[in-house]
Amino acid sequence: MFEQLKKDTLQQIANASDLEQLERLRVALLGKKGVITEQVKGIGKLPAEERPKAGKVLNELKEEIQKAIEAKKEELERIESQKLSQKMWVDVTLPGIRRRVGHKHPIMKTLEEIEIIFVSMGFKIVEGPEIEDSWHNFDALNTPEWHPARDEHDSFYLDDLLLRTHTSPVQIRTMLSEKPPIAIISPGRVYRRDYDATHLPMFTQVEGLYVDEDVSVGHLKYTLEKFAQEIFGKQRRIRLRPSFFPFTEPSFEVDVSCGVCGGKGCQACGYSGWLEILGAGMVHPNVFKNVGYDPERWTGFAFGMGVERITMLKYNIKDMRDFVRNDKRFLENF
Amino acid sequence: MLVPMEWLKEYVQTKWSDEEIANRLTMAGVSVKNIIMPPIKGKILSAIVKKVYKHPHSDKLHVCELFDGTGLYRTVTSDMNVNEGSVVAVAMPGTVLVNGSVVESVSIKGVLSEVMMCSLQELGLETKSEHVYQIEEDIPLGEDLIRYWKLDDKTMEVEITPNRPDCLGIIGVARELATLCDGTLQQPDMIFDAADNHVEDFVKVTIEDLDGCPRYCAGFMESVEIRPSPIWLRRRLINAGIRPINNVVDISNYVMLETGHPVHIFDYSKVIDGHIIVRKAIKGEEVKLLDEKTYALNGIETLIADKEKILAVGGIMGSSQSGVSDLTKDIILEVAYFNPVRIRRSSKALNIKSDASYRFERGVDPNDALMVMKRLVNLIEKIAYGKATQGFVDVYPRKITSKYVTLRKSRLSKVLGVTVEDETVQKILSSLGMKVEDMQDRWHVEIPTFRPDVSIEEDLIEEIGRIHGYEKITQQIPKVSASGKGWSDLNTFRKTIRQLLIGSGFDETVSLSFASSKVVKQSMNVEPLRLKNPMTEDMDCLRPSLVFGLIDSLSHNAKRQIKDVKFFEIAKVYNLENRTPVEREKIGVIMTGQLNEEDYTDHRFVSMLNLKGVLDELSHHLSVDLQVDPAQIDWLTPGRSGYVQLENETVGIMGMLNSKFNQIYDIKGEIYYMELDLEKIFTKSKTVKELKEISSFPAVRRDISLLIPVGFSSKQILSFFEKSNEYVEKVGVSDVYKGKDIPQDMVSVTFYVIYRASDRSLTDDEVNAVFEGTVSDIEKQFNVKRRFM
Ligand SMILES: [Zn+2]
Repeated sequence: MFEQLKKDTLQQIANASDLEQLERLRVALLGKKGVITEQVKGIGKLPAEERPKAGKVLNELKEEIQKAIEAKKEELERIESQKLSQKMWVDVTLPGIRRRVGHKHPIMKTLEEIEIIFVSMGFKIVEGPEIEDSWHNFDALNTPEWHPARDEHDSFYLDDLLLRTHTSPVQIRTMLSEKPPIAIISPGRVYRRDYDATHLPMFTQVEGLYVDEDVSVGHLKYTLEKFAQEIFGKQRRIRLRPSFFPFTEPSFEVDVSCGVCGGKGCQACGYSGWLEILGAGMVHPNVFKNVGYDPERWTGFAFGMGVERITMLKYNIKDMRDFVRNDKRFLENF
Repeated sequence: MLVPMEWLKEYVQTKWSDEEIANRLTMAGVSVKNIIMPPIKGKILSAIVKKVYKHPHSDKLHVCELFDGTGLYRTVTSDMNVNEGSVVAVAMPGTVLVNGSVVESVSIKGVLSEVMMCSLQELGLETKSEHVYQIEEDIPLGEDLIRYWKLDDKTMEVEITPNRPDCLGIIGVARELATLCDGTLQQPDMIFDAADNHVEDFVKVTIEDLDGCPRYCAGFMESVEIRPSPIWLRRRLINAGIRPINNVVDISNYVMLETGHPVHIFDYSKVIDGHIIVRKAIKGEEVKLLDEKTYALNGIETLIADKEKILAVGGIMGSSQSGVSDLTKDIILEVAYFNPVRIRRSSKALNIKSDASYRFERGVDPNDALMVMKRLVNLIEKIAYGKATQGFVDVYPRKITSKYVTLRKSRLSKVLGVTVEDETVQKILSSLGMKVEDMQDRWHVEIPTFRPDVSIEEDLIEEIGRIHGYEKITQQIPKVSASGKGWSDLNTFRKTIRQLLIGSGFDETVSLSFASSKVVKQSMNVEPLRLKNPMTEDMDCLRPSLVFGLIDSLSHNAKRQIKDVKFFEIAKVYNLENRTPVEREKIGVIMTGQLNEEDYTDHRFVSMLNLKGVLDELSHHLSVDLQVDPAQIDWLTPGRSGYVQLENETVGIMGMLNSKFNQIYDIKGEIYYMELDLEKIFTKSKTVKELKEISSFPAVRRDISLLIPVGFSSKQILSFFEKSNEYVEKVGVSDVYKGKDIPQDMVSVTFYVIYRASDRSLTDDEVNAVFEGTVSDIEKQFNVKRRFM
């Protein structure tokens, strides 16, 4: 019973060449007026004793056909999607078509970071001229003309003016025009006659100044350690090494613990465990006198750092001259 | 400064290791940069030459048999001066000498040379030796000479800050160390015998320039024996970086290194009447100094002279004639104090830097002169067998006295942020050579004259801080109260521009502010702001434009086959305006090579209009109306250059660099450049844009291609369209075409206009009428034709 129908039907399903044809076939077989449906409807017309058997056989047939259609459908769908993928194929392993975005210069990138750190501590950014007079660059900063400390600031001269050797003149200008409390940093280009792998005749400096009542070395330590941790990492420490600058007293070199060895000493830090990052000190009373502040009432700290030096330490750059060569391959790292 | 370790330890005893000493000194401000270890190691023994005979196969060689008290060794030498009975320094096989070479047992022309007889050079005690060193000292045979002469002593390289002249001598460093390790500072040996005759019988001193030389001490010694210095002295000098010459000269250097106070020695026979006159130089006077160079004096120097000639430029350098020579018998010893500022000015003017001037300009102790003199006499007596006379001449009419500084206890803790025990303060200051009187709420401190750097309260606070240790100071959070914005508006504006340009594909550069005046003149025909003291010829002026740094960077990349470059820099340029140097901050933008080098579907090269596009993008984002007026500009390419205008003010320049730049910098291809004035644009930029209402009615667009003659500014047509009708929403260009169906001196430009009303839909008919009318007006007014009639 129905053997021929089953054989023919399964053959038809197997022959279906696309999903559309298969769907038509499904409707023709299992639809409301489909061949199988009609057969099922016809059971009622059969003699009562044949009905159960016919019903069972038909149901089995119906299930088998449904399965066959499902299987065929999956097969056809697989084929369709394969075809579509051929048609739509794009080799996504090819390089993307880029609209190239440029890069920040590493110095500017570090400078931005430094600015953000100090601004978030309440400091204000102040800028000033690069061409200065020697009063603002030296004399006001307690460095009279024949002071041997001027040796470390070998300047470029333009007749009676000079290129500033540090951004400290900006501090002088700020103190002359504002009353304490003052918390500023002054970034900018500065100039000294020196040119090798660790010196550029022009480099970028950030100097800071904080003047208030009762400012002590303790405040300086806190501020600069916070800075070092923000820029180099939370686990870093700083230490103050006594030094000399004419405009601060006491004066310090500030070292940060080496990030490679954590202070134990390694090649990167010359086996000392520490790396010099900036100079600092308590503002010299003579500087306050020169700008008309009362050194008895106001105390303060000042610091200065080379952005190139900080950047070199941060990215392990060996030759400072790379910063001004602007090799595109170098710049693309930042 | 170089500090030989064992020399330092002669003045202070400490249990600390060399590394510990270096570290403690560094943390107290005497910065030790390095500990130098000589490479010498192994075994060098004293041995006597027992037998000398000719080498069997060479006339130029001798064979020596050596005995070190226990064993016999054979060696071959080319030094014919070695005699039987000479005592020599013998290096055993495996010994590493100063130059790093290793002694080996070798066969020289068939004779086995087991060991090596050393010269002073090989021992590191002379720059160049001709002969094997024959030991003069009384040293037992078989003595380990590396140990005996301390040839492997370490030396600290110390950086002394300019405020610490006292540490420019071993004793000064020793004083620091003694303070740190709680040790006792030893005094140098100053004992000597004086003959019966008196110094004044031989020497007279007159100071005419008391400002330049406030104190002059002179001593006199007879019958010195000039010869090489003993080994220990040579080694200390060499380790301290000074070349030995002869015993008397060496002693003078030695005393300077030890005390930090430079001294000078004159040959008595060269000083007329033994009368030293200290006077100011006359401008133009000439003198030949020890370095064999002749100097014209500037009239500011202090001279040591006799009645006829100059003996020395005081505190700087002796003359070539007056010093100690091999024939010298009697000597005048000078220990003087020179005015630091005068020394510095003279040394700068003469361009001479000597060990003496370095110390005098930082300020030596005027009051240690007699101590230094005695030490000098002591050593000359001991080493050069000179005989001293009674007394010294000491001209010091206005004594420089010690300063007193008051230190308030409250101020100390206020500045340091930590309280230091009274007892500690007292101990630190006394150990540094200061006399301290406790006055309850303050200390009254007498500052020794060897510490010219200590003159105010803060200086004492530093002394206590650095010895007590800054690590003991606890951190305190400052009460900084933010005063308004952290960044100024200009600062923020600059940052916006940087972001815009970076986003547009430009890499940010930083270049030196210098340029070559030759190149500036050649390429731009302007006179730049010159430096008075440039470092090199190609950096002899300040750049009048950012183009020089940018094109330098372009050229650096081009030489490395990197040809697609888009760079910008925001920095100052410098010019003379009304004879005053003026700096202005500019934005420099340069581009060359492929427009989109990372887009392999786009092979276009940068063009003038790409550059203009960058400007338009800035205009758009900064809310300023930057326009370009075509103009001929010297250093740009004719037909491709113009001024950037903003509200009737020139704020920049743009165009293609002319071929001179390509030649000078050896770059091929078109280079486009733009320079804008940051502050001028900032001043006119609107921070808040006026917003137009956005209409929701449909737009109607019309296009028209017009034939535009060369030299015509299409801007006029764009503006005409913009003003043509109230419904014009946007005007633009959709195509620019040049080709065979277009006349050669023409270009076809397709303009589009978008019309839109805010209150209704426009009809095609009304737009057609308006557009046609406008195009006809344009044809008439500008005498241009439609491409498709
Ligand atoms: Zn390390």
